[in-house]
Amino acid sequence: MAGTAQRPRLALRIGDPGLLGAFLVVSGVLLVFVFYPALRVISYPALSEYLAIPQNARWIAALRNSLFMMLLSTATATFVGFVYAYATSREDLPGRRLFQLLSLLPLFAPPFMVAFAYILMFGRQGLITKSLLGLDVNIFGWQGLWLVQTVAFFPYAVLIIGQVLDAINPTLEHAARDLGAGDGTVFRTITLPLARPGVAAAMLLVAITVLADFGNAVLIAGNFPLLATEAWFRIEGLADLSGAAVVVSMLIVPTIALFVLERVWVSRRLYTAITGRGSRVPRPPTPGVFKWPLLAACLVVAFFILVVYVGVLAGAFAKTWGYDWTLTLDHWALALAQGGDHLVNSLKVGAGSALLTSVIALLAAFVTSRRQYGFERVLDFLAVLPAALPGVFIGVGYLLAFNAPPFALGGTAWILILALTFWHVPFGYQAAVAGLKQIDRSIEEAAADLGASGLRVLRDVYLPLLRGPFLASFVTSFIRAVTNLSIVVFLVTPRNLVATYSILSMIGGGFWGAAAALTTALLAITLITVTLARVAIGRGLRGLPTS
Amino acid sequence: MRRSVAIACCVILAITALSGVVGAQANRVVIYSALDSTVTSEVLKAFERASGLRTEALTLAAAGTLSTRIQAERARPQADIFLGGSADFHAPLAKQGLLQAYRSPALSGSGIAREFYDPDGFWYGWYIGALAIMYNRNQLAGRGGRAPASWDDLINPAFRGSVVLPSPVTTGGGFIFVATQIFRFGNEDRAFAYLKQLADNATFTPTAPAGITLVSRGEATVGMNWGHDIRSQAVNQGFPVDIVFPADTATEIGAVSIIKGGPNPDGARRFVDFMLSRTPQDINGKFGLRYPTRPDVPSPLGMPPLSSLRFVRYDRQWAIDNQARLREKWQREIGK
Amino acid sequence: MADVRLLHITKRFGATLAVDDVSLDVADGSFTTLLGPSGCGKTTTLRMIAGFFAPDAGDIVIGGTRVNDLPPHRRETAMVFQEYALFPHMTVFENVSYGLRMRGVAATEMRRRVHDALELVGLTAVDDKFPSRLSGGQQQRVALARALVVRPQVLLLDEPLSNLDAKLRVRVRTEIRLLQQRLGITAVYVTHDQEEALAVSDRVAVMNRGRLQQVASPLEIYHRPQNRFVADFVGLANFIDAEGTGARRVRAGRHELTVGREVTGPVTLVLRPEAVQLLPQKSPDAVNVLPGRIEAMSFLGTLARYWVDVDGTRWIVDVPSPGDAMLSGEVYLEILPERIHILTERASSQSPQSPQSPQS
Repeated sequence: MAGTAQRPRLALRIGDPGLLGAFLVVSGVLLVFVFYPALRVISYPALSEYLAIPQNARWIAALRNSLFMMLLSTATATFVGFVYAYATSREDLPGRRLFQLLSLLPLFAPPFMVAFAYILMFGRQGLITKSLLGLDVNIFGWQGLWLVQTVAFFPYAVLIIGQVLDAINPTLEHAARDLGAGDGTVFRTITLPLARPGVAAAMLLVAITVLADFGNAVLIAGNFPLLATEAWFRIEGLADLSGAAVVVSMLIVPTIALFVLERVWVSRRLYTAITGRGSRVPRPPTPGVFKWPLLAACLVVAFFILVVYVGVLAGAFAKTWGYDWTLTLDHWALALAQGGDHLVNSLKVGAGSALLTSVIALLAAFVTSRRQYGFERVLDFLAVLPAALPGVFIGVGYLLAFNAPPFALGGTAWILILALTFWHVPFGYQAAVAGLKQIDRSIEEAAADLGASGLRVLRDVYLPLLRGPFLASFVTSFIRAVTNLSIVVFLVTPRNLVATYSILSMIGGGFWGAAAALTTALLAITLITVTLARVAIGRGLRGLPTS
Repeated sequence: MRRSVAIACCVILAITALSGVVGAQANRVVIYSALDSTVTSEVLKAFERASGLRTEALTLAAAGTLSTRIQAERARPQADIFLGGSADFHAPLAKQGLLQAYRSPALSGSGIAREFYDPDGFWYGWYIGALAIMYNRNQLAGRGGRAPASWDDLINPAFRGSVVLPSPVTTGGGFIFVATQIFRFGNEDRAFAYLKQLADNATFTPTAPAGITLVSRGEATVGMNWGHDIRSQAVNQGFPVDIVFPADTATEIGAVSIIKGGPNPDGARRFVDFMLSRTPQDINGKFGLRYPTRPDVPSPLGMPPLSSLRFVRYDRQWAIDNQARLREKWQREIGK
Repeated sequence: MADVRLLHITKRFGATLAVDDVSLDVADGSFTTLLGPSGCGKTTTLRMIAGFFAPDAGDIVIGGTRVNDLPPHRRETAMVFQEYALFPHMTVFENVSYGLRMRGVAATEMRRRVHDALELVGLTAVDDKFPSRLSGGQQQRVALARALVVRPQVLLLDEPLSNLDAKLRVRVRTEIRLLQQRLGITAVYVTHDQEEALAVSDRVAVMNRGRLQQVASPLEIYHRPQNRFVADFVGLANFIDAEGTGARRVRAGRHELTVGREVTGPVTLVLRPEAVQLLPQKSPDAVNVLPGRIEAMSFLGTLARYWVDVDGTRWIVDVPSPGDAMLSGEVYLEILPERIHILTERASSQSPQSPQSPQS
């Protein structure tokens, strides 16, 4: 008994047909739906086109500008994110919950609208810059883009840094104060160093997002070439698919470099605070010298967030956005007539792909956590790779890869759903991996010891315990799917038009009011769905450890 | 356990819900339209009435994106018709062998001039857009400037920093503008000297409609863009924008073409025949304010008659042949 | 070094009264323990001494100075935390030297003092290790060294041993006590473990529900608890309701007992298990003898513990050095009058019972 009892897991797993099957399915699916389309895009241009990159002055400028914006926006978005996360991690910050909620809002914002709202508010004729402050400001160019990207992407930093800050045991702050450190010193010697890995992780994620940012850049950057927009102009202005593929491939080099850095360097350095049992004590009160500036900073950031939504809302009801502020419902009539069905399609596509994402991510995380077959690192890489690919890349890749036998999905809704599904897998995967790490192996051993097979363990033990990450994955994927445009533009089919596509089409026709109305409707529906999902999936969460 | 069953049910439900909308149907003509949705839907309605066929449309005022889709879908084309957008987008597709040549019997009686269709029948022009100057009245008053009337007014130092044009590198309109200047001066070097002065005055937007938005809202004072777009997106929306067609302007030809290997070739041919008739050109004039290629269709309401516009001698073939070279030269010498 | 005086301090958290009018003198160089069940306010009291919380009312005086308004880093106290609170991003050396760096101690002196402190707690060759690489016992010692190295006027220890296993706990607590005596440092120690409190303290302050119950030496606390809560919480005890009948006599149920002093009215007798002797036969010259019947027995090595039924109430009796022979069946309980502790409060109407039941 002693010999077999020692390694029940090993005995169970080797040759467990269900588990082997799951492994093969996950590997196969990831190879086909992640690796294959990526390969198709990269191999689309001829080698000579890659070799000609140094001769293309605009592309070199775009590369330089992209790296420049990456450094700039990443620095500020992370800084703002840190201040915001630090402020909202203080339990005695007035309005803390509200600020936490607000910081999530930019994640919901569909592309185009954010940047447009900023033009209306902060442009030369901006409500705030001109009407309120009497300034003559040119928002276009890298300075404007800097502002917009900072506001658009700091929530990512808040999410990551906030988790790390919350995980810091308040006792450490007490200990440092007890040993003679003043408030500033505690921050400098304890809080900041402990948060540093989180800050690094946030910076990398923000940097990747900035590199791939297209929606803000296309409206605000003016004629400031960037790789992400350049790929789009290749396509939109010149219908040059091959050139676009080259540009996008240029884009993924720094992105994958950042990504590998994140995986290899940062994620290993997160300190898990060493604590035994012990009651969690409240954080020391935030001194006034800190508290009020923090509150002020939060208010400023909240203002910049709300401006977008006020702008969109105003646009939906004003006769001519930015010019004639007479109230009207005309835009709603037009929006719902043209985009009503598309809203429903958005919901279907969003829910379908978010469900698939969550299931695949969970399965992939389960399989890679086994470390049994030796290829898990490859699978792990494939599962997180899509995060490093810009949407245009996925869109074009899926068209190239899945519009011919054996994968003739072109013209069906599935090609869009699958593209969105796999583009978002990394988000669900990361959540599931983190969730799995919190589950003690002994629970699984207990189940196995009682006779559960490999997949049965997944179903009986892990699925119920991983409902939290599953929900997080579903919500994130859903929001991203219904607000996506870069993939939708390439994969949407005439029979399955979705809302973001209609919004783009309305903007293209100059119907900004209708676009704002449809955006408002989309936001409302997204919020409702997310709330419903929380209720539906989250009902059983009580009593389970929350991550 | 019960939860996982519930999730499985959800997945199945989602799949069933989706399968209802999955899959192209036979006998429908599938159209990729680069026009705005109003014009597209009116044109398609008229076609369905006339032919008895059903249509499906993907409407995206982004011809390049649609062209890219057509290229990427070459293995199994999903659409029959590429509708709208400059012939400059259709011609390269024909060159790549992605379009189906078709000699439409409707051409003979249409009176459409020789320059408006492809001699091999790959594409047919059914509307014309002309480049125009726009300006924001309120802004102009603020700057005390005289209303611009010619291309040379765009380099007036009074407008320094408040002129917007679509980028010649990333937009078709911007490129046609550059070529127009070469034909106007009859000399590339002199044209580029002008363009350099212009670049000092102007900013270039990566997409064409962006410029109209900027002038409408007073972010810029003066701009160059497609006359019909200025009209529909700025003037008709109530913005204080005026429109001028300067001398030596140029046109784009809005085309329609058949995608090779599309699911419904017969329907596609009937669609092209229909597009050469009066009805769609009337509709486009009414809703899109674009000029017709048929001489028997009147100019759109509120637009100066086509015959009143004064065009530069535009050599379309030369422009297309020199497009890559000129764009590179632009980037090298102007660098914007 | 300094003494600590708490003068009528009170602390509320929302609606709960965590500390209720506590006054306590901790003599310079003494080892004082705050003992009580969880939630009794002992940790809150300790944290107020450290300065993490300000009292709502009352004063805290350290070394003759009122420190109510001093933030923690301006007080010459150092705390060892229950979960150690070692800085995970710093090496052992950096952890221990942290307080010295805050005080601007020169590098060479700092190094010397850190090594002295680590040596003091019996740690060597761990300078460059991160806390996560140390065992629980080692982490505990680092935490202690970190607190001691700053030579605080007052050392505060918040259940520092609760994360160690039983054997280590006993060893480390002895070490802490020896260190404290050697350094002559004032120490305030918080624990819920009464045995630990008795073992290390000069004085024990028992708390319950935010109030101080008794402050005394361990011997005093054990043998002469001031109230039933203290008697019950510290060690085991048999509680017997009785009625003073004059002439050092009390009546408890059917029996009359002789006690050590004159009492009148209702009282509670507190009898520690080892204060009762168990005899197979009635000895003729014994003073207080009750017949009983052994119900259960547990052998604990140094002693044998019996649960004895006396007239329907269960007594708990310890017999030291039991040897090989075990008692069973009918026995006699003999109680020395001077070992009966008398509480004048009448505990409760419920019948006396031992706090611990036999495992049957």
